[in-house]
Amino acid sequence: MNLSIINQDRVIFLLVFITIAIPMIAPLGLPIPVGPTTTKYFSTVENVPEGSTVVWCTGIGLSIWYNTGPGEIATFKHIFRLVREKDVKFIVFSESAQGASIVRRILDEYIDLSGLTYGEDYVDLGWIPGGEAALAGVVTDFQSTVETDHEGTPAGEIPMLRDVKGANDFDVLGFSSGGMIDRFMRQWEPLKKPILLNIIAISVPLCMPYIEKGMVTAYLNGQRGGAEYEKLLSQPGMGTSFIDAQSMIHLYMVAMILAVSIWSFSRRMNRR
Amino acid sequence: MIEEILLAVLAVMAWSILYKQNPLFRVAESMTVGLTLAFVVYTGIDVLGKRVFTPWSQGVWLTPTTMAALLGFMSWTRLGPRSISWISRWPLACLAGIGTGLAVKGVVGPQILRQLTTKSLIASDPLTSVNNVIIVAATITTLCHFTFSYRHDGVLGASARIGRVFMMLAFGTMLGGFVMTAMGYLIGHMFVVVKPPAVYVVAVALAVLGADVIRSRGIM
Repeated sequence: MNLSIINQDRVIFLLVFITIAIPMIAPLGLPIPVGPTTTKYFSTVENVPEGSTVVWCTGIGLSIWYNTGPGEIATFKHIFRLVREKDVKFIVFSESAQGASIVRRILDEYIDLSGLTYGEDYVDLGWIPGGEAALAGVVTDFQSTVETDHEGTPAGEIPMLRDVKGANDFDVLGFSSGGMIDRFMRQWEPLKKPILLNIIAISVPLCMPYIEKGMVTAYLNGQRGGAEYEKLLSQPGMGTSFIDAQSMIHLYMVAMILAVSIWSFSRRMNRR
Repeated sequence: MIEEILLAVLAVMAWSILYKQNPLFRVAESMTVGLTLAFVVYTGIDVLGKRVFTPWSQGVWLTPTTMAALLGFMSWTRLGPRSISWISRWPLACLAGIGTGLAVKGVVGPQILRQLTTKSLIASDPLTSVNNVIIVAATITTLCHFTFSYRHDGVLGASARIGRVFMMLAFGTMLGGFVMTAMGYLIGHMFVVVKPPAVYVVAVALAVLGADVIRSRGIM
């Protein structure tokens, strides 16, 4: 069996492009079965008690927008639904400059903010510099750590932040990340609050020690988790559009691995 | 519309490396580095303006952020003459001290004690019980694989081989996650470039590619 043609990198790349482009041009409408992890994430958000305060840290950068963006948008949509229906307060901040711009993009382009009052229903604190120190400060000494919101308005002038002191004023904590989550766990897990996580797929195995021990209450697994969450919310979005292509490219990868394995095995057999 | 065309142009320039090394790819590569740096610098200056210079202009001199900013400015003395460069050691000392303190405070509970505790192997759900047994078996056999003090014969050898299978399964799982993540980048951009007006940019790129293939008499 002569497979020399697929040894050409460029042909392999071209096939990758074609495999992804076809379902983008003509969606296949493959089913999106919702896994237990996403269901748990959905129910954790859904069961946030009335009048609670949810704190969310967007820890992702622009480079992984298409991976974690669907889950981030769906999470924001869900929480803002609770802001309307259950009088939930939503505090969002970022631990990076890029994360702050992602929050602005989601709020401006994907969330219907009509009828909501900034500073009373939700607040965007922008980028809080300091890394792990900032994460610790938000839950231990909020007023000293958060001096202004993203526009420079002093925290003392924002109604929903006036009486916030720290972790006791928060009911649910959540964050998104494109890598290790150790810093979040070190600072937030001892508070014994429900913790939500939207994580890039490649980092899920690294988070398993925290997930298995129940330190992370629920998590979304990258692009696929985002698509499943959109389905549960009945609001198809970016993730749903991507999932056909994800399925196709995984089939392609499996086919390539099988083809190369068979080729390698048969070559070894011929040598003998 | 302009945003989509720009995205398509830059995406095609970046992808062109898959065909061969070319100046357009190098332009896209340099632009990525430059734009990222510009964005970070711009946001940093913006934050300094709002949280440091504005309070200073209002006569508020000492807040946690302004103190941190002062430490940051002190680190620049490293660039100056030797007579003042020693000042830059103080912010470094603070950074190391605070970082260590924060990490140690949080590391004991979540990363040590909680990881050492375990529930019974037998869970209410039979599948979870099986999973627990597999985790124990995988841990022990994988450790056997990395036990180099003894020759891998007999029970140790068999355990090491089983451990290797478990590791292959783990690496396979990680590969799956990697594929999903890596392809996620491509899928996201493809989502934009297969639609007008970005698709016209791709059409032009394909025409250029085809012309170059013909000119160089095939890529195979």
